[in-house]
Amino acid sequence: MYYKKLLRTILIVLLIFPLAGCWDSLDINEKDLTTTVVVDKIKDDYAFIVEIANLSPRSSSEERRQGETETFSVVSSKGRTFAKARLDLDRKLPKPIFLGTVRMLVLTKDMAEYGIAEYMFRLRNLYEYRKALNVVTTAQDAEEIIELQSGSTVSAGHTIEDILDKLNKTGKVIKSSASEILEKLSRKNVCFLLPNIDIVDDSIAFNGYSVIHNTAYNNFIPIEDTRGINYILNDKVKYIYVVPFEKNNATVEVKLKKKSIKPFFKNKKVSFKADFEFESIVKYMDINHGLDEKAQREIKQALARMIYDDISSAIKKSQKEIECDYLEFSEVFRIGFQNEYREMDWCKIHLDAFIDVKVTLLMDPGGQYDYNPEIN
Amino acid sequence: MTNRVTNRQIIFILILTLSSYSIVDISRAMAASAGYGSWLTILVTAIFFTVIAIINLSLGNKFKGQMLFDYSKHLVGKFGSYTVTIYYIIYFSIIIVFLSLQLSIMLKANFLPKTPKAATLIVGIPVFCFIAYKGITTLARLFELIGIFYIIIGVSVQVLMVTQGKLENILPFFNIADIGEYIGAIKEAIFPFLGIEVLLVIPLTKENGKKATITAAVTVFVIGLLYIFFVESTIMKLGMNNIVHYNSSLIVAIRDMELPFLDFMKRADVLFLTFGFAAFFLGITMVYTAITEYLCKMFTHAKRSYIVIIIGILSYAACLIFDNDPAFNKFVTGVGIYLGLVASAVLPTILLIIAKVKKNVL
Repeated sequence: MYYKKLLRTILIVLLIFPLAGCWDSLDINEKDLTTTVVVDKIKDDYAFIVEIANLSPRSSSEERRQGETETFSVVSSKGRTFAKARLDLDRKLPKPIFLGTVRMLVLTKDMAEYGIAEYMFRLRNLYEYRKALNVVTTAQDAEEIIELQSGSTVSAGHTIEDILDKLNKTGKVIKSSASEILEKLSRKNVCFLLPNIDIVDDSIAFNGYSVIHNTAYNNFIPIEDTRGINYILNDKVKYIYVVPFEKNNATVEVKLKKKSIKPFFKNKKVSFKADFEFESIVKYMDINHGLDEKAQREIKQALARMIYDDISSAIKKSQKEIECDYLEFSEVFRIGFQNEYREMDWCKIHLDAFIDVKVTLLMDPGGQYDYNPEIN
Repeated sequence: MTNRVTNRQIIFILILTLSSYSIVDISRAMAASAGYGSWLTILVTAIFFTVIAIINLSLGNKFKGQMLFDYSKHLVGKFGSYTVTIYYIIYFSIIIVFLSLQLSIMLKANFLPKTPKAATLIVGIPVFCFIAYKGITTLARLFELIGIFYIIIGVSVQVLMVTQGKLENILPFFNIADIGEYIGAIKEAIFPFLGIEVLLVIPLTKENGKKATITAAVTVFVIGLLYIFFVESTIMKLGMNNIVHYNSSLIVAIRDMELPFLDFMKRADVLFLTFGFAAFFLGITMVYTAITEYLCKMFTHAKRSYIVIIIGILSYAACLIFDNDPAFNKFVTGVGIYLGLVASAVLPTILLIIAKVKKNVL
């Protein structure tokens, strides 16, 4: 009996050791929690700039007395390879880096021009990195973006994420997670958009898209030209248009209700029929004379034309100017004509594809100013 | 020790034993082999294994209160019975080592990268052995308890995954030109259905009745439908081209999810860590129990506790030997499928045919 008890005790003690000693166990204060990672290419070197949350104050006792503790610190490193740059970073950080908290991966324009594939594949293999993190590009000196937030209580990564989240809710930006980018990089036709973040009027702001073609930066689309792109790639897109009519201007809110893009393949020619249905409401006019039927018709026609122009110019830019299918017509065609798609050089075929755009617009003349959550 | 399980417990034993390990990797395996037609490949395999489940349970129903070792003596004689039992013991031993190693690999790759595999095994194996010592009836109750949470949470997580995934990642559903590819991928879909053979160690009683056969058949078919749902939702999240790079694709997809509407739990991987792994533990324990039952029948004079301890020590030693051995992994995922088919389909079918022919044995 005594031996049985002893054996049980020894077994329990033996089990407790490995349980408590999970080799990975490390107090959260003993890790450098990273919120933003910037990847840059400086001549032949790769550079990392990381933003780290200061859980324990690192400022001097004088600064602490004055309440000037830094919430985030910025550390940079570089090396001939990513591995060497990381080694350099590890040498500068007092604690082991933790990448599970990264909210934003910022790729500089130089890095994107060199090619993003290698770093994305590295990210895929770093188990700590969450594949749900967002990826953006910047043409700005990346350190400036992070430094801009250094005095704030919110990190640069969280700020960029919040901006993208907010805009994405109304379809004004395409969010790209690392996982989605890895999928796009593995496709036959590698061409997609990444949101670009720069400093605009002393604030971090989304200012357009970077076009990634064959894994490298190819072009930039400014925010003014992104409406058509968002209509094609996003759902629930909402924009405000100012429509001139007669000697007046009507401010109209437009909402994408539904869309349908159908592919066709006849006589070895690729074509698409793209139908977009919008609903809109006149919010107000510069001069409020009321809206008669003629004025309504005029606004509706002008607005439909403006939306049509946005969409068709986005398609034209993709086919004729940038020559890259970032509007993802390839996916629509692949689903419809899988066997034909396998055989063709989509990058070339796409340039000559005929895309018939049809815009249907429903308009509410407004005039009711009560808050309606369905409309707003 | 009376080994009895209810029909409801059979449902959970089947679901957890078959799916708890397979769901982690099945999406990658199917995406790489069958591509967009994964659902069709799984459906065909599910129908085949539904028939296998009927055969296995019909055999058990013919010999109420007996397990394979007992009734095979009447069917193929003492020598035949020992041969069949030894085959099952060897087969289950291979599976035990494979699953225990996979558990430690999965934990190391996804959650505990610095923890040595030997440490997770030394914690896990005594637990498996202890439950195996307690017998099938206790284990079946555990299956019932964990199983219900496993199913509810597993399905809920996948439903959320569908809402965050992209439909175009799984389209088109069917391409006639790829039919050969879909059929060729059946080999990959077999492994997730192996495990039905553990039912052969459960003696069915009068209470189970014929309903047990129908229950098992429907359960296996539903497991097939669950696999389709899990595979499609995981591909929707990770993408058809990206998913092939992840061994534990389900865990990666769950880690890729965000639950912004849940303020107290924005990440879903915590759910899998608890109930997914609990189900996996039970799945492995079922195989340990199956071996224990066979050995206890063969060595009637040996104490069950000693048998369980010996199984534990030997399996731990085997895990250490075959750890990081690609040849072992290749053997199990290659030859192992055929060994499993013999264990789950060929031997029970032969025994059932003999039983039909030798009606007088009843």
